[in-house]
Amino acid sequence: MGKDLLSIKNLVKTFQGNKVLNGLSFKVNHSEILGVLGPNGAGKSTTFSIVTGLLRSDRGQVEFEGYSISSHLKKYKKSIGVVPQEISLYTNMTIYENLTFFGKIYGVRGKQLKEKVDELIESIHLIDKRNSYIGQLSGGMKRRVNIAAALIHDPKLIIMDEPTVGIDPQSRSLIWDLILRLREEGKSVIITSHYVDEIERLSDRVLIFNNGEVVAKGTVDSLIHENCNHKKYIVEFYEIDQQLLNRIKQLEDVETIEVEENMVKITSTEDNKVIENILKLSSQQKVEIKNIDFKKTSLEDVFFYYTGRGLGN
Amino acid sequence: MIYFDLLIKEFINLRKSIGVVIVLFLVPIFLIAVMGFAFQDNETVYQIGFVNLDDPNSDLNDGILTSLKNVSAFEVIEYETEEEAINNVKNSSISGCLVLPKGFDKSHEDGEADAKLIVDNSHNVSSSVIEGIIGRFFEQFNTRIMSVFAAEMVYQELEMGDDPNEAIEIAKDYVIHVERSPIEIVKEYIAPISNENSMSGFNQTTCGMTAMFILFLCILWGSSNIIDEKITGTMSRLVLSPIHIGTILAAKLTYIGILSFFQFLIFFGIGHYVFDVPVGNVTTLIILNIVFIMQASSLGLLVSIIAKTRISAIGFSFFVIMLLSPLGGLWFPLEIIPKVMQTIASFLPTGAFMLAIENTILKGASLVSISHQLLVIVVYFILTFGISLKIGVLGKASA
Ligand SMILES: Nc1ncnc2c1ncn2[C@@H]1O[C@H](COP(=O)(O)OP(=O)(O)OP(=O)(O)O)[C@@H](O)[C@H]1O
Ligand SMILES: [Mg+2]
Repeated sequence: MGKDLLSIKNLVKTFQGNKVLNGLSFKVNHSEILGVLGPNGAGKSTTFSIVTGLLRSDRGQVEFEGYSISSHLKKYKKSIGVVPQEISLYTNMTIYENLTFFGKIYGVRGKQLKEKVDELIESIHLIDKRNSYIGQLSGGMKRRVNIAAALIHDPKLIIMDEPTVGIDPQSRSLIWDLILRLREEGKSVIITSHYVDEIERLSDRVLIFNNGEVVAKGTVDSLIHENCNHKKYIVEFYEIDQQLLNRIKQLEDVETIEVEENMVKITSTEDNKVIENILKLSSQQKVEIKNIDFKKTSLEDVFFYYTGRGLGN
Repeated sequence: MIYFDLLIKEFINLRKSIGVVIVLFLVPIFLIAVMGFAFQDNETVYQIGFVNLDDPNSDLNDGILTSLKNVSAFEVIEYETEEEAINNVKNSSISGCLVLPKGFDKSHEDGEADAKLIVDNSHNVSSSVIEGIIGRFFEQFNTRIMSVFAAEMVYQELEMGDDPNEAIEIAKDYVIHVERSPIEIVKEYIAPISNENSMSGFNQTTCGMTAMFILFLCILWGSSNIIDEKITGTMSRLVLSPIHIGTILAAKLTYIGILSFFQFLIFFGIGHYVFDVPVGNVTTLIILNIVFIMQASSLGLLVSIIAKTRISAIGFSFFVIMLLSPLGGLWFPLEIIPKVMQTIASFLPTGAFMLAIENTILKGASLVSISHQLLVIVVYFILTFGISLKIGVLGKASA
């Protein structure tokens, strides 16, 4: 067995002359949760379609445990579980019937199937709804079943495309628990989301996609430290003074400055020197300061730094 | 005005629903053209066989053949033997056959000739048309022969010096009292199971309705069913699983096929036990229907792969059904439409089905004798299923 569970090299995909994936490469280790962030249209779902075998790439390789997926497609398909972006369940069948069916198409049968289905229904907290039709469930419940349906055959790698989109906090934390438990069982999970807090909380490593390429990768902490050592300060005055403002702008350590009514937002690479200088200046000008706020760089800032875009829409 | 914005929105949406556009405009244009062409009957020419078992050099026999060839509604094909001609009537390559038996010319001199007319009375429209035309044809011929006979009679009985009025009396007397026409037609029918069974009327309707409902269920309902699975994403889950795509499609087709088979059972069960629709060769009937159902559901599969949305699947389905139904003779007997259209029909799955089912229920045809039609249907099945497998159920984008 190789070191990497999944290895993706140089994926290129063009749709009608539009290059969607541009030599994309990354790896997934054993028992890790890999978070994928990227603006809309960055190529996340397209990558997943290629990785799951639904779509063929124009160029590049996908290797699972050291072998090319196309050469062992059947075995590979049994080793992965896919949670699609949309709810993909039979609405006229019950939770139990859906899960049993999806187990059977992966060759899980008999007692083993029954036990696995019961176990999953319990872990998504839907025991009392096991015989309810999918069509009668709430959005959050459907999401949970949608995830469970990908887990019945005990896959080694689970690929989740926005598994918690548009659901209540309770369902979300339940899904988070489920994902963390999968890692404990030794499985690997690739997950995309537009919620940074989700990626920040769950992921061992994070990939940032932009324009069909991986533009940054690493742990949350390393991404923040390596790439964005700017600090953000928000200084609120009781009554701002134009003269003071001009002098602040001339300070050496100020990288960017933004003014909003009586608030001044400053980014700087120097730790506390800027604030010291501002305090000095304001006492000279006799302008009173109401509040000073210090903001740590977040994953969202890193994301913005690399993609020039905010998360979500 | 909001009203116009709402209205314009509908047309903007229509832009992407090619299926609806097809149903609304292309289908009516196509249907009116097909129906108009089908019922424009004046150019129908019946192919009719001619067998002369008598003296080939006889003036009479020759005259009959020449006059027959001059009948604009007929295209005359000559055969050496009666058997050969009858076989061609049986397999519907000619509509009827006229046989002049041995000694025909001789017996006509005694005023007692019989010409044999063989028609396939299961095609009761064309057979009665042919009977009518041949009847009139020989009426004219008889009139001519009788006038010769009358003249002969006058010549024999009248002596020189008699009153010329007597000649008219003699001729009148002959014409009035003659017991039979010099040439009479003896009709012979290609024996179907029972004489009153024909493809017109209720039998045609039962077969046509069965085929229509199979088409509706397999193509319209079948394609919507598959499109639904594509839209909800469950089809993606199936494709992601280790099951072979062929197994997924085969199960789908079997399911739709079983439902369609029950429709067939209902139509023919009630038709047969309540309304006396013949079933002929039951084994052939069942196998023919199974093959036709397989073909139709595979067509539904192809529609579901080409169409992207449910509404365009409905559009495409209607288009295919409305194309195959009239052209295949589901709404009216094929025998009444022009020959070109009959030929087209025989190469369509619906047309092949109608021709085969007619032979099966009326003449108890065996599988071998409808093998040509079965082959046409099977070829369509292989083509549609093969293309579907090639494109893949998720459309061109999928691997
Ligand atoms: N079947 C297709 N045909 C043509 N273009 C496509 C197709 N599928 C995706 N694209 C294009 O590829 C690009 C990447 O799409 P993809 O769905 O992979 O993005 P994504 O990162 O998943 O975005 P989102 O965050 O919105 O889910 C988009 O510009 C999209 O328009
Ligand atoms: Mg996506």
